[in-house]
Amino acid sequence: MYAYDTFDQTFVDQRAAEFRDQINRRLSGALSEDEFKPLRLQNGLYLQLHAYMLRVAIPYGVLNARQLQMLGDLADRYDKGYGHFTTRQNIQYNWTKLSDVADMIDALASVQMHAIQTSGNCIRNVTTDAYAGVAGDEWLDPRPTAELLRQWSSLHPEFAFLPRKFKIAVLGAAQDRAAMKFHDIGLWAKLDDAGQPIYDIWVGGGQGRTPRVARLFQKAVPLADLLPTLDAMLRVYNLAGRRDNKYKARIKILIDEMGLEPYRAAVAEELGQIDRSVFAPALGEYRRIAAQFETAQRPALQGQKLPQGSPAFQAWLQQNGMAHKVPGYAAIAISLKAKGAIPGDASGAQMRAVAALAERYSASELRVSHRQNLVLPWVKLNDLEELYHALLEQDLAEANIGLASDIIACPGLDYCALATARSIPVAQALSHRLRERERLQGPLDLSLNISGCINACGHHHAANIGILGLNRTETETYQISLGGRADEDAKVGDILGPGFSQDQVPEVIETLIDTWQALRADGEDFATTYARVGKQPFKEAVYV
Amino acid sequence: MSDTLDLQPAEQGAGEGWRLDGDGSFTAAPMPTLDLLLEPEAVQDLGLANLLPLQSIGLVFKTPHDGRSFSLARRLRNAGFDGRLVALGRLMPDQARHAMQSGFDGLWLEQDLVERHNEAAWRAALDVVVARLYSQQRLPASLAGRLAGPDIWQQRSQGQ
Ligand code: SF4
Repeated sequence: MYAYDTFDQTFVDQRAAEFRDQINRRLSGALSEDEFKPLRLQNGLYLQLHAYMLRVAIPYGVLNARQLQMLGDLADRYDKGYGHFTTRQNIQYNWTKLSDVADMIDALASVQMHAIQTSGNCIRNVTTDAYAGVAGDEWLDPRPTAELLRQWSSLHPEFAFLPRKFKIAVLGAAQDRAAMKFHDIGLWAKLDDAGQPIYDIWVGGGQGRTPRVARLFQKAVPLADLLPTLDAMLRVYNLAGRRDNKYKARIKILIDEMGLEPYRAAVAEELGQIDRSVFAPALGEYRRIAAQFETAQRPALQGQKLPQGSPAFQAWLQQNGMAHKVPGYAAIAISLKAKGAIPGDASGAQMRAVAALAERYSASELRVSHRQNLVLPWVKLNDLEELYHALLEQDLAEANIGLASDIIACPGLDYCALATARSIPVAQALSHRLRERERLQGPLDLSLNISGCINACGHHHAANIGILGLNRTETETYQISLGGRADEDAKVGDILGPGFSQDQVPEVIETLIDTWQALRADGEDFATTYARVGKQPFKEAVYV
Repeated sequence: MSDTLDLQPAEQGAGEGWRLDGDGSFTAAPMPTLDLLLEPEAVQDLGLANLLPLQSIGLVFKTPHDGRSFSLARRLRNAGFDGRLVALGRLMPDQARHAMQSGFDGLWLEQDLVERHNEAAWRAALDVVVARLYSQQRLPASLAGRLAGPDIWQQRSQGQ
């Protein structure tokens, strides 16, 4: 893992002091709420329905045991004993007091963490594959690139007051496990013939009220050109992006209105003016960072064997385990989607328990996934059974990773000031039904995501079955979309038809699943069946 | 030059205010005399090349939420503008760092803005901020004090 040196530590310490000063000036009235707003947002602080929410960055989803333990302690000390892991590798505390925030930030800095740019109209926490560095299908570990981008974008003076938020994801594997094509910029890292990193740059992806799959901006950009290119892309966006309507301010709209070709031309012109010498140290910096990740990799282990175990153990391993690139190890996902649970929520006690398990079984390392679960990336095969029993004791052995009951949901009307409908109770009701169905029928191979408003933080557009909560004539209504996907074949789902009441939703979802099961060819997942048969049979089944 | 471009000449010397410079000094001063005062929308029409020969340019921030003038400053510096670049308008003390690091020489602030944030916050504007970025683009020659000097990546590469 990447460890801070004194420069990194001074950077976050100074930022913590700066934010403490800003909070004090807000409390004294020197800063108006309008002025304080962008400053607090850039430090991850939202004003929600009932309280302030602090969103803490887990850069590219990587954590060590000590850090997770601290996140658990913060949940107990400053929240109501819970934290909420998000789809962008952050954790949110929904019940923080403004007067506590500076102390929370100091506590985070003491374990090399921060809340910098987890919100606001700036470059957000850079995300990646939760299995980075361990996935069998990986060409290049994306974490050094993500860390390089974290450093480059942190407190970037020019890009702190953009037209709108700006999200970047980096991938280095054949499979997209980070919804890269739904980001403002997606980087797909590969290796050139000489074994050096090159990047396909995708632009203009996003969800919200105008969902867009990113388009290819440029192929095979060498590492030396990466930062100058991003710098030029962001500058053109900062200057030309719309500021008259916040719903039209993301780069996807600029690309729609300007056209991809003219945008490319504007970026090329900008690039021609850039002083590239500024970016020259980035190459050495990349190597310095990459070396840290390389030394943390473990050599192949001899004498490790997949245990037999009980059928329940086998089912868990099958569902939550992932083949590792290093012989002798497995990567194990811990589901935060137990039957009836709030997706992505973990208690302080659970976080500390998982931290202890990471210390014991996973080289003290953890990951947070885009689907709001945790991953232990370095589990020895011989330890798997023991780990399974330890997880069972903590109620953390739910074997449903990647299944229908592994629901992504945003906080919705229970917390969020922008929500038009509740999403948590809908997710909980569905979780009960779907988990039961999976118990009886076996794995249900589909993704189901729920958002509490059109902003789509719950990624409903990108789900095989998406649920969007709306408020029509003062009653919550849930609109369903089908066929979306967040992988390398990313697609925005098609709206099925008129919405349903909250009570109807579970029944409707079960009908959709019945329909898929009746139509599917052997072993077909939902997305494949839907691509083959289209919307009509599903429509006929639910609107009778 | 400004006449040939048919621009609104800056209102020279109008209004009381304060200037904050890149060394952190903060002094009462009338509005500076500038060759050109620009709002972000206007730059596109003028063309960058026409601006380069000017001695001094003021870029206006209409609200603290609009960061276009930071990018305009950087674009001007990248294109080789060597004159004095001043940020004016609705800025916050917290944005002084952004301005200097984007290529401005200093800020000029109206009296009411200085009073509302209080003078002390402006005086401390360059003290209580993260002074060293990981990657810093070319700074104006006038910059001195905390914000001047090599960035983190340069220092690391030199083994400091
Ligand atoms: S989708 Fe809407 S309700 Fe859900 S978290 Fe985002 S803004 Fe809030």
